[in-house]
Amino acid sequence: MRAAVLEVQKMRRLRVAPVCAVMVAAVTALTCAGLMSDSARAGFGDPAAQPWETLLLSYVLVSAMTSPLLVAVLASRQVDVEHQGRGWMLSQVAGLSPGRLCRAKAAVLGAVLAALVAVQTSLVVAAGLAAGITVPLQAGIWVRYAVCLFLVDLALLCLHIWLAARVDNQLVGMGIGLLGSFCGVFSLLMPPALARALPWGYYAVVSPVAMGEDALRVITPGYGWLAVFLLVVAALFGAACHRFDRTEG
Amino acid sequence: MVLAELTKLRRSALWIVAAVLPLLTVITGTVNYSANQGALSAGWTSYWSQVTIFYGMLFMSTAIAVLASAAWRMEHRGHNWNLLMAVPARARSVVGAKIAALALVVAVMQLVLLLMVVLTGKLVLGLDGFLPWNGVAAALLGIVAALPVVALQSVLSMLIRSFAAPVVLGLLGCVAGVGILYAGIGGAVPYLVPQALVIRSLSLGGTAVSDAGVLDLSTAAPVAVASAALTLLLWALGSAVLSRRDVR
Repeated sequence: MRAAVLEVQKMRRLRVAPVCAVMVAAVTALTCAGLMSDSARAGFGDPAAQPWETLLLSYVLVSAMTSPLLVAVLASRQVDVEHQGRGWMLSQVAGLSPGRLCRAKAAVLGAVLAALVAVQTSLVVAAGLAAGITVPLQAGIWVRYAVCLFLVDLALLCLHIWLAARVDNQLVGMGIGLLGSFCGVFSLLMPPALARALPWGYYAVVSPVAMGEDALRVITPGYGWLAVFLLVVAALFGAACHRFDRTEG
Repeated sequence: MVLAELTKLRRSALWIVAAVLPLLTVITGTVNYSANQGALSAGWTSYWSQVTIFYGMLFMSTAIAVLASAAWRMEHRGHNWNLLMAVPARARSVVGAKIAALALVVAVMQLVLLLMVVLTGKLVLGLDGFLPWNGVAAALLGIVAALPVVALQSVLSMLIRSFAAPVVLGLLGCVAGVGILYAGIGGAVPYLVPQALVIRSLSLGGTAVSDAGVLDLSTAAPVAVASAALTLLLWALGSAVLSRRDVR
C-alpha cells in the first residue's frame, strides 16, 4: 500500500493526467469522426444500418491502434524516473525491492487505465447519443468490451513495465509499442490463429463485432483465449518481478 | 556537426525502428491487398494505397516522434547537456544538425519502404509493370513533408527531457491531421499542421482515401513550399529557445 501511495505521488510530477486526457481525446475524436458524415447520419434511426455496431467497430479499430502506444508511454514514464534518479537502489535501501516496485507501478497504472477505459467508452457512447443515434443501445456489449479492453491493456502494461525496467533505453519499449500499435490495427485483418499468437492480437480477439458478408455481425469474443493470455502474462510478470528481487544492479 | 550527430546515432537502436516499421508496413499492406483483391482494383496504385494508408496517417509521424526522442535522449543523459552547450557552435547549428541527421534517418526509412514495395509487388504479388511515377513521387514528397514533423519533434524532444511525452504530443498532431483530412478542412489549415502535410503527401494520387486528389505540380508544390517554410520556422524557433534559455 505504501509503495502504491509513493507511485501516485511520483505520478503527479509525471503529468500522467494530461497524457491520459490527450489519449482519451484522441481516441474519442478518431472513433467518432465517422459520425459526422451524411451517410452515417441517415442511418441513425434505422436498425438495419447498424449505427451502434459501426461505432463499436470503429472504437475497436482505434483502440487497437492507440492502446499499445498509450500503454508503452505510461510504462515508460513511470519506470524511466527510476533509471534517471537511481530510484531502484534508493527504494531497495528503503525496503522496497525492485519487484515490489514494479508490482506497485502495475497496480497504480492499472487503476489509471481502468478509469481511462471507462471514461473513453462513456464518451464514445455519449457522442453516439449526442449525434442522434435513436436505435436502442445494447449496453451489455459495450460494457463487456470495455472490461476486456482494460484486461488486454493491463496485460500489455505488465509486459511494458518489465521491458522498461529491464532495458534502460526507453527507445526499445516505445519502439515496440509503436510496432505493437501497427500489429494491433492489422490483427483485425489477420487470421485468428495468428492474432492469438501475438500479444497485440488480443485487441482483435476481444472484439465483439466482425465484418460479415454484407453487414456487421455481433460475435462472442474469445474469452477462453483471453483468460489463457492473462494467466500466461501474470505468470511471466510474477516470475520477472521475482527475478528482479534476486538480481543485483 | 551533422557528421558528429550521425556518429552518435551510428550504434543506436533507432535504425532498427527505421528498418522494421517500413517492413511491417509492406507486409501488412501486402496481406491486406492479397486478401481483398475482390474488393480492390488491381494494380500498383491500389497496392501502394493499401501500404501507405495507416503508415501515412499515424505511423510515419509517430515513428519520427520516437526517433527524435531517441536522438535527443542521449543529450539529456548524465552530463551530456553541459558538454553539448559547451561546444563552440551556435544554437542554430546544434538544432540544425540534429534536424538534418534525423531527416537522413527518415529518408532511409522512406527509401526502405519504396524498395520493399517494389520488390514485394514484383516478386510476391507478381504485379505487371513497375510502381507508377506518382507512387515514387508521393514517397519522395513524403520525405519533404516529413521535415516539419522532424523539426517539430526535435524541438519538443529538446525541450522535454521525458522520452514519451513528445511522442504523445506527436500523436495528438496525428489526430489533428486525420481530423483535417476527413473533415475536408480547406484553406491554409492543412498546411500549418506538420502531421497533416505527411498525411496529405502520402495520400496524393492514391485510391484508399476519397477526395485524396491527384498528384501533380499544383498539388505537390504547396505541400513542398509549406513544408520548407514550416521547417525553417521551427528550426529558427528551436534555435531561439536554445540560445535564450537552458533546458532542465
